[in-house]
Amino acid sequence: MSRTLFVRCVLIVAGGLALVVAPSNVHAQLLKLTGYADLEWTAQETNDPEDEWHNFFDNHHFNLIGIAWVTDDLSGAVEVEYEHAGEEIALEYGYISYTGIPYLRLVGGKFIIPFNRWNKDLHPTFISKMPGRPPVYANVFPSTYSDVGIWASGGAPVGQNGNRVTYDLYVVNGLKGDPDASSFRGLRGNDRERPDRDDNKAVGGRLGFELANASFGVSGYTGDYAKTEDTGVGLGISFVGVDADYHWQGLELRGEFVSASQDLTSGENNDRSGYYLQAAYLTEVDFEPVIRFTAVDFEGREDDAEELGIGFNYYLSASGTVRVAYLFGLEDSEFETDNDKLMTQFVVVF
Amino acid sequence: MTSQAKKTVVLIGLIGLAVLLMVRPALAQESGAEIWGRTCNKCHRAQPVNKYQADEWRAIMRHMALNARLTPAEEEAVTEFLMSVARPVVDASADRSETVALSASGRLPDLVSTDPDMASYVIRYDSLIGMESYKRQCVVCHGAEGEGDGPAAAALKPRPTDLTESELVSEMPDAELLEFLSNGKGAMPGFAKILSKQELSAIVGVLRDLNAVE
Repeated sequence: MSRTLFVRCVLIVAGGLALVVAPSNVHAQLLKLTGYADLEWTAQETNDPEDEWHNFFDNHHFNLIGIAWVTDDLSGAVEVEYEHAGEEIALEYGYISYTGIPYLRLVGGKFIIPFNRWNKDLHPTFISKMPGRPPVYANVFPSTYSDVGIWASGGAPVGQNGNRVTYDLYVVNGLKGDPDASSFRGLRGNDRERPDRDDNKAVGGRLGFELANASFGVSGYTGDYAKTEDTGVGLGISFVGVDADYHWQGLELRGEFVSASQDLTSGENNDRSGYYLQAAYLTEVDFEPVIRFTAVDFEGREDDAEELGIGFNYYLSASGTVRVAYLFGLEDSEFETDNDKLMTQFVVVF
Repeated sequence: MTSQAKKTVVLIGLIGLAVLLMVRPALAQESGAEIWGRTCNKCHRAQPVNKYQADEWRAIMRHMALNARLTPAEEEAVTEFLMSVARPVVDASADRSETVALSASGRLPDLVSTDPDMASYVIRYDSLIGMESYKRQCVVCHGAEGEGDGPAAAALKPRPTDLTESELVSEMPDAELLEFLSNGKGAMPGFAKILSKQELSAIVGVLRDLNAVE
């Protein structure tokens, strides 16, 4: 055994002993394991004349969430996602949090970017009212986007009615990718966590207002995602977003808008914008019809996309839901024929 | 909008935020149940409050308070509420002979009080205390008129009971209602850890009033 290895072993054993004998309230600590899983069956129109409807099963998510309560001020959480029956395994988020300062939660690690609501709060299939990602969150904002950095968050009351203002501010490594690549979501490439990436950090935040039956917020994100090969000048990418929702009894109305501007090596900008509007009504028999309209505008291009989704949810329990939706591709962006989809989903949160 | 303009928008937002946070407003006076009712159901259907044990709720709430951006007072109130109505820790070594005997007699086994003093407690209606306690802990699910239509009702499964038409309420003696409120049953949590016996018995009086409404 080499001297270095011996020293490391001694340090590890000493560290373990220190954790065991150190005075601490071990009974106060807790690790809660939870998560969610879903099974999808999708029938999708294709441009293959011999296979106009392609259908398949997908175990889209089996995500395990661990929540650690350490002390009154320290906690952590991790979500390990097994997507597509384990074909994709990744860390959705893994953070440590300090809450010892009133009105401020400090988070460090990998976290989901709090841009608008869908990216961080609404994308899990046990929460999202309709199967499938709204196209605005595939083609305008690369959801689900999580990154490594520091995040400050909190809320403060306004008045006596339970209204409050909320804020999120963060610094992260930022999106990174090839300016000429066609895959916009590829900017979330895993190498953004590598320590040897560029020095430019991305910054962003969200300012929100929570009322009794409604909430709204504005979000921003800006940072460099690449450099030009010849001059080394940074190429920026920025997002501005607005979100709002309204609740009354079983009715939920929700909408989000995103605008993106991406510098290209040619000196031009790849600008795009989009939004979705969604209405859902939960009846007393746990049946919930949902309608969602999404539009994406690629400035200067002719392949703008619109999608109309009509579906319903049935809640077997507070933890199990069946979702069915038909998504009409109103304009062709990828296929020569219509790209309609019929999606069914069985989701369980545990 | 250029990148520079968007950076300016972000900067203005940050300044606005700083100004807002400098104005320290009054603290909310809502109960944990009321805050739970109006915040947790905004994103997802709230899980039954007695699905988890108290320590589990404590851990979950730390994570969810971050997601919901609750104020410190709100987080504390909701956590206290959920921990107080959480699923009790089952002691496998406990003597359950009394419960088994009562079950065999056809009584509701979940209503058996674990508090030996509860059975002999004298019910005292107090409308002021009852209405205040009912408002803070019950309205969020059962509604102000007891019709099962509180702010959180639409998101709950099963739906809260309509207390005005509940045969369970009308047929159950006061002492059993008190035990029901204390220990809970099914999706209905027990409130023995968050309400005093005086408050619980006062709520029994409120239930009698609501159930008597034609």
